[in-house]
Amino acid sequence: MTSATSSDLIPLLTNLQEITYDIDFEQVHKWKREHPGKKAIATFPVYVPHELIYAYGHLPVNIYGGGEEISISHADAILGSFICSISKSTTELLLSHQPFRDAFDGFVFPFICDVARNLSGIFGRRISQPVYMLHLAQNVQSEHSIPYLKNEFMRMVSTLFPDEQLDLEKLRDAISKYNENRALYKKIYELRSETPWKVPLDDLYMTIRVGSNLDVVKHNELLKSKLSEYEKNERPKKDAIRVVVTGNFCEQPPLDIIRLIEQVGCYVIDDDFMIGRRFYQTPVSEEGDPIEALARHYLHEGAKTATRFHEGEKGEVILERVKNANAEGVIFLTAKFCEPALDDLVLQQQALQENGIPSVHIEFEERGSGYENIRLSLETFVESLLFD
Amino acid sequence: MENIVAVKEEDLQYAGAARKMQRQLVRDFYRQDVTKPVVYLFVGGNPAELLRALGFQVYMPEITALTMAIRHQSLQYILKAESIGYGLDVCGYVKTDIGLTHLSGGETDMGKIPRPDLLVCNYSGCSVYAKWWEALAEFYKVPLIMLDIPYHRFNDPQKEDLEYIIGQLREMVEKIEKLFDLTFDMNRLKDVLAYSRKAEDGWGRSFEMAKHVPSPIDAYFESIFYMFPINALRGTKEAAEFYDLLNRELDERVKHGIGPVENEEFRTVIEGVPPYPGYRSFWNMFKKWNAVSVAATYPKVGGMFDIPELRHDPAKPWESIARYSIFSYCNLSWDFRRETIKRYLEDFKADALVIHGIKSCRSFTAGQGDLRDYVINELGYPALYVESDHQDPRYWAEAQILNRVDAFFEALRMKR
Repeated sequence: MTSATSSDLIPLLTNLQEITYDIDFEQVHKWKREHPGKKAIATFPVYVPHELIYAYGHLPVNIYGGGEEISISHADAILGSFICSISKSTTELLLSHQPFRDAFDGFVFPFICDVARNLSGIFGRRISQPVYMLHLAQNVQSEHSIPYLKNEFMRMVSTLFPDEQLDLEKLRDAISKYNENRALYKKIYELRSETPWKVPLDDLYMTIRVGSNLDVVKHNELLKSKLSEYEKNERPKKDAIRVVVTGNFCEQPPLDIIRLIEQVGCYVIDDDFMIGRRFYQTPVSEEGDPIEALARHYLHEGAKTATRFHEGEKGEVILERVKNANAEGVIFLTAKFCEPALDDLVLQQQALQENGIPSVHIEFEERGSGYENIRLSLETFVESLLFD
Repeated sequence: MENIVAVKEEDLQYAGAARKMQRQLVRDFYRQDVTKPVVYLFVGGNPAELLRALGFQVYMPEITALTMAIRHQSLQYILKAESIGYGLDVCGYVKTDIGLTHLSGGETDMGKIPRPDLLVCNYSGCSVYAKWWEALAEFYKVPLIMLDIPYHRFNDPQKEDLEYIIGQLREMVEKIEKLFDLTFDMNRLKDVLAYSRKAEDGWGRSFEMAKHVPSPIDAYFESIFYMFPINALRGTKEAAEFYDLLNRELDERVKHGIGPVENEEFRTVIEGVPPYPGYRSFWNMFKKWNAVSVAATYPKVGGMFDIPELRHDPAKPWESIARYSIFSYCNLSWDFRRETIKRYLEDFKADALVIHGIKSCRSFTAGQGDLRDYVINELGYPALYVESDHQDPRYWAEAQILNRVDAFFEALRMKR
């Protein structure tokens, strides 16, 4: 695996946006050129245990669709009308963007929703690379869930790398590196919570997202560098309100909308942006059986996103997030046609309402055409809080 | 039976008998008194047999919702659910159920829908199932048990998947025994399973009947009526007897060469959930072209009843319940779904595939366009794709769909 140096980071730091949104996946192609014989595996949101893929010496890559970088011309006919943009643009990348097809040696679609699940079948028909639909256990109470999930994880890697053996020591090492990655996120978010003016939202967003297609070691170096930069940041403190942004755990809003949230006067203290990359707030155990550690952590420590079954605590979850963030309001930022987000939103909004916490619901698509209505909604929300 | 032709009434002993009994079963179901604890289950791959054996009255809000839609009563409940925050893009079943049962007290002109005492989330084939039951558990403050069914990804169910399901089934039974002070009786379960098996054998036979030319049954539009006993009443004597009667009626139709249209001209396979708000109109669009559905996927949303090995088996109670649960249609991988469609097209001597995609159910619908591409370009059959919704009449654009259907059959006729 690559050992990053500060000079390696210069191209990343200077071309952060370009690399973050690169649908040619040049960083992935570059990594493969540097690691002959090794593979890159694309994983659809929200969560796939990248540690397992990394332990084989391969590169796990989060994919987030084509965003504003690709026009939909074929995917509509494949998926139908009432389907979210990330699924359509990901399908469009498959159908009409050769650099995307060439970048990856396998795909994993976790069962976060029915569309993500079904994409595995569409991809499987159209490419020769292995495609795996990862059925993450939903029953957190059953004693049978951990053996099931351990086996499920192993079936995933056996499908992706049928002729290779897993080295448990390498898996422990991978867990350690990803624990460091998550600890760095946590530090940055803590800094942002304490001094949000030092950590610009768009820069933080791209700093996390660019890690999607980097070796975790290199990304750890980037996060350290960024943490240091943010700590020294002398941006002036604004008269902004502290908010939680939730609902955008899978499809990502256009960068303009992310910028808009801060421009209208919000400091985002807690959010779901690319939550799968920071799915755990606590480190995965580096002791004992590492596969079991991953399974156990998923079941008992994972982020409580709408893509998982968790009974009777929707209200408590959002109220706790608001409390921990010392937030004044919540922005529900949901992708058009995203059923899990739209279902959870009802119970969460009710809990907020009962506790007198304001919220606003903004719906987005990957390719918007002007955001004046969104600006208006956000400005009204902020003004109502500032002058309350 | 809508189109009985060239046969004297007195020759027909069973004409319309199955439809009459089905109507009666629906009426009786919604008018029954609540004498036992009520459990809500989902249709896909459910363990109804276990719950019946434990002494529950079993309800499926999906069935209530579609019954409201076919009676043109769903929109008022959908709007009610939207008024408390459920978005336009949320599943119409969810909104109809919440609007009807939670927000309107469950009163219908068929009878009162009781609130549940227990929710069992048989998570087979639909991610919305979990969201729906999470909400109901909050609304009704009743226990919710998750029964996680792994998605079908392998040709045979993997040992580990079956063990996972069986383990959860046993845990579920223990939990329910404690929660409701009930005692599980294996002999009772075997009796219930025997009724299920008998109903499934009969239902499976009715599918086979459509191989006759002309087909004695419309395997989509007509079979949808006959889904009620297998899904709502599976495991009861009434359901088992119903399919005996259906088969007697179908045998009689075959004997007299009766089909659902006067002169069968086109044999179609239909994939997808029906547009219940426009059900009659949609059916008429096909009748007018003398088109009969000879096989369909929707009647298998509960389970793949056409595959004998996947039916319930009193000799293997746990294993057969687990195996059945994996093979609900929406829990099937696209590989399996494509193979199923291919088998139907070939075995039932079909001329074309018709796909109806719906806004609400992405589980069924996402990828149907890819299926169309597969059927046209790899199998060489014509295929039509139309869209609306199964619950929400605001998505039913009759004129547009009629134009598409007419153009499709016109082209098919021209090619002959």
